[in-house]
Amino acid sequence: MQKEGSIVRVQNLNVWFRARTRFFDFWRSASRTFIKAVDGVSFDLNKGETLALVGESGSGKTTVARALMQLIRGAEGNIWFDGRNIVRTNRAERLRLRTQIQMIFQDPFDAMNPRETVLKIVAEPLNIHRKDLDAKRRVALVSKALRSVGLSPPEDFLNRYPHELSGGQRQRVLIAGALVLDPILLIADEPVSMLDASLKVEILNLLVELKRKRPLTYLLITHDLALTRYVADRIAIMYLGRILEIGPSQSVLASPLHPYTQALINVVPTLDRVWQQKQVLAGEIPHPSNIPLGCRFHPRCPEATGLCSKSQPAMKETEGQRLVACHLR
Amino acid sequence: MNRQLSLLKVKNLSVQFRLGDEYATALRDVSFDVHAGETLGLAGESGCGKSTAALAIMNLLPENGQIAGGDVWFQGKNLTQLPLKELRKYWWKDLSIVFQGALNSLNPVKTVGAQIAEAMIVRNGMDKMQAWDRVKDLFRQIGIRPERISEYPHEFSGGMRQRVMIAMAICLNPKLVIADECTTALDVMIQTQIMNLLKELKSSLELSMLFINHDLALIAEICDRVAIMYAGRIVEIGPVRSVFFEPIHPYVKQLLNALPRMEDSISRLHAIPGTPPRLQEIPEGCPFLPRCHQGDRRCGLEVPLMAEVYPDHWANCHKINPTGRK
Amino acid sequence: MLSILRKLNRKGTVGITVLVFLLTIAVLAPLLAPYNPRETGSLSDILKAPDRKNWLGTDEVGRDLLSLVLYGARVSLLVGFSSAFLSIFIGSIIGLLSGYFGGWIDDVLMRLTDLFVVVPRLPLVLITVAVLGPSILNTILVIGILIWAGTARIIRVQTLSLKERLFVERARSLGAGHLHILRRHILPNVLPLVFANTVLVIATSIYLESTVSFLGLGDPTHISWGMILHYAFVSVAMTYGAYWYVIPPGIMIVLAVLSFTMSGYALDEVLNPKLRSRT
Repeated sequence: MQKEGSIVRVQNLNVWFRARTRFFDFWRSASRTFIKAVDGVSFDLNKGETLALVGESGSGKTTVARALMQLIRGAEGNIWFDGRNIVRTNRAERLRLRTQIQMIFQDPFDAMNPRETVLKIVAEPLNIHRKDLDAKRRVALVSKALRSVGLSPPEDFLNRYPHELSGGQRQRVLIAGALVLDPILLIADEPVSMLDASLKVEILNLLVELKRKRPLTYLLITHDLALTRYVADRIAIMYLGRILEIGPSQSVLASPLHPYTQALINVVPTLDRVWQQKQVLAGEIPHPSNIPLGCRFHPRCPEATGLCSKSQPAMKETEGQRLVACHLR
Repeated sequence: MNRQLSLLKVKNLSVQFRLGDEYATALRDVSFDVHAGETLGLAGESGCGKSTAALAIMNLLPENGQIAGGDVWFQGKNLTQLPLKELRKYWWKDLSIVFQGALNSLNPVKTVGAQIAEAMIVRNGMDKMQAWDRVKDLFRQIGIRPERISEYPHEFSGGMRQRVMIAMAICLNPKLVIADECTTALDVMIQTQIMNLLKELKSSLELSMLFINHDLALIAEICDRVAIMYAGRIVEIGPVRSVFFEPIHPYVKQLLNALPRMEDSISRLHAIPGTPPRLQEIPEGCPFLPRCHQGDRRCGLEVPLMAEVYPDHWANCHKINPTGRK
Repeated sequence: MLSILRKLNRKGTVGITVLVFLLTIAVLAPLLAPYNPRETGSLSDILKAPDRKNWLGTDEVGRDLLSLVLYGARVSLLVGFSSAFLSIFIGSIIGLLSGYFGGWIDDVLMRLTDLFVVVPRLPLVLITVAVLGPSILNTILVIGILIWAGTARIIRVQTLSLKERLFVERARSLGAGHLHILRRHILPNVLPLVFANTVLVIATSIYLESTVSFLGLGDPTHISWGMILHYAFVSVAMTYGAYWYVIPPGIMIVLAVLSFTMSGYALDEVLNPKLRSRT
């Protein structure tokens, strides 16, 4: 069940996709290949915090987000939210969930219908969930949302089309759209990765501001460790479908426990470490249909031992509310 | 003025694009040199014109783009005046380019080895044996097992394909390699691998490079000098350390303040208010004025000229005193 | 609308001009026609070559050809438009459902579409009209049911790609149901394509109607260009050398089909950005 003070509790979440078998595999009795996008993920999301799910491609971070958002089928395990298990839901439950959990997407331009105005886009959740509202009330709620994301005066923006907005403005519009139903959980899927450096800050600062004024909790999906340092309370590092380490962001970044975390921190390109020697991991991330046995990171781990190739390490709690999945820690 | 030999000399280059009935000025009066043996970075955010500069140098501008003024000199020859037939002789042999999304620039029905070998046979008149040997050599240099030369592009991962593109770019030992956002869209670990490869090749082959990227940290890692662009103009140019530790232009200063660090004590990052101007409607005067915290009337009327503030470190801003700091 | 017209190239302008011309004569036929087309003449008026009294000559029962051709525009265009709209209606629905829902619905509907692509049109028309009897309504129905397959495929492809767009995923994440997504996101973005495709389908319909009528399966109580050609053929006017009987309706059919086709391609270029040449 849910822990006191946590808004979401994920337990052993599995999202396995059946790999498309080629026609001639039909009569092969060999087992079907699965793409294990999420393979045994557990974490708590505490009320009011910003948890960053950090990982490279194939880490499964996006799939976790989509499972929470009810956008994919075939998830197994437990997702406790507001007292209920939402890993499998029916239509009525999903509808109710949509008013409580909202999502912000990576590409603000593609997330908007090019033929609709800002008003229509931001009002869309109201059209679905609050059909009782009349047009005047809708405009009022939309304007309030636009104001809260810094698009003032709202009247200037209501009738604009997506192509008439700048990159930063587009993302703000979408954030407004996510807030108009007063959700309690906001899942941000790479919200700034497509924005220029000077704009990233603008949007991230906005998200931080918003959290101050409302009872919001954020799940931030990202690959950018440097930025998470400024906005995340806790960080979870994911690799090939599993969480390898999770803890308060300051301590994880200052003294990482898992070798993968250490490797990731080593290679982040920022101006204050340009001329340091960067130790890079050899090789590449294996395909999620071919996850290494034992610890999935062991083929690339500089500290791997014999045990690492045989058994998968479980998450262990260490001091400072930190959890790590490694045989050597 | 630096008396080194200029390999590439871009002088007052201007490029316009026709978009419907409007013209967008993608480059305005851009001038920079790449000297033999050095790596110059072209940095800036989207729309600043850095990729356009690369395309203009190689005469690869799309149909609706044209050079509206200025010249591109390469080893003493004016490339902008050359007919395409003549210019083609330079491609791959003296001047080559690695693109972003090179992942999709490889011919899917040919083996990667064949594609590189073909470039060498056709361009350099090598015979097949020589060419394939060289391909194997190149693979060793880029860190891929030579046996893989007979594999097809889809059998390689994104990072590997980028390495293949780099191999193709250096196969004929060009004098200058243009790397246009060649690390974007790669995972950070792979990105670092590619950067390390580029750094290695840079020293072992004594390459001169024009390194185009929006990530200032990557630029700082590999470049000797950097030119920062904004709205089609170069606003600051100079040695990398000088520009990043002692920035002159307000845009550069504000941009540096917006970049996250890993090791300082956490303070707020500061965004730059506003947005870059539409390239179809660039205002009079300094294009950065609407977002500048130091602008005044003069900035809105006159375009500032480049002035040397520190040794070989130039910026164009009205607020600088050419004899020293502001 | 006007902005679209402004963007058309020469091909489109010519096409639309001719189109407007044809529509005008169809609408104004009663005012423009010098005679009642059904009015037959005396023996001396049969198969007269074009002269001052009959600008396009007469047919084998003395009817004025010019009036026939002008009135013929009405039926040809009417049947053309109606059957086109019917087929587009069917094709769009099938394409939308197929593309949006995918799975077995897609499989079944696409196999059905394949069937209609493969079936030879003329034999099908002949059999159907023979069974149902020749009338305008039947002609419209038959043509409509014959040609929806092309539209269905085009709409399906567009729907498939739209379904994957981020704004559709956003709508889903907001809790939108299928109807909401189809109505608000898929349909409006598919309509421009439908519009351009419509014009091309009309061209095909007009052509098919002419064929059906020419073969004698059209409604004998109505005049269409195809019917005129049919009577021209049946009355052996050609052997008589009555070029005025055959050429005018023939030219009209060609003009109609060409103008709709040209307009259709031009509209497609304007509304479908991928086809637009990079100018």
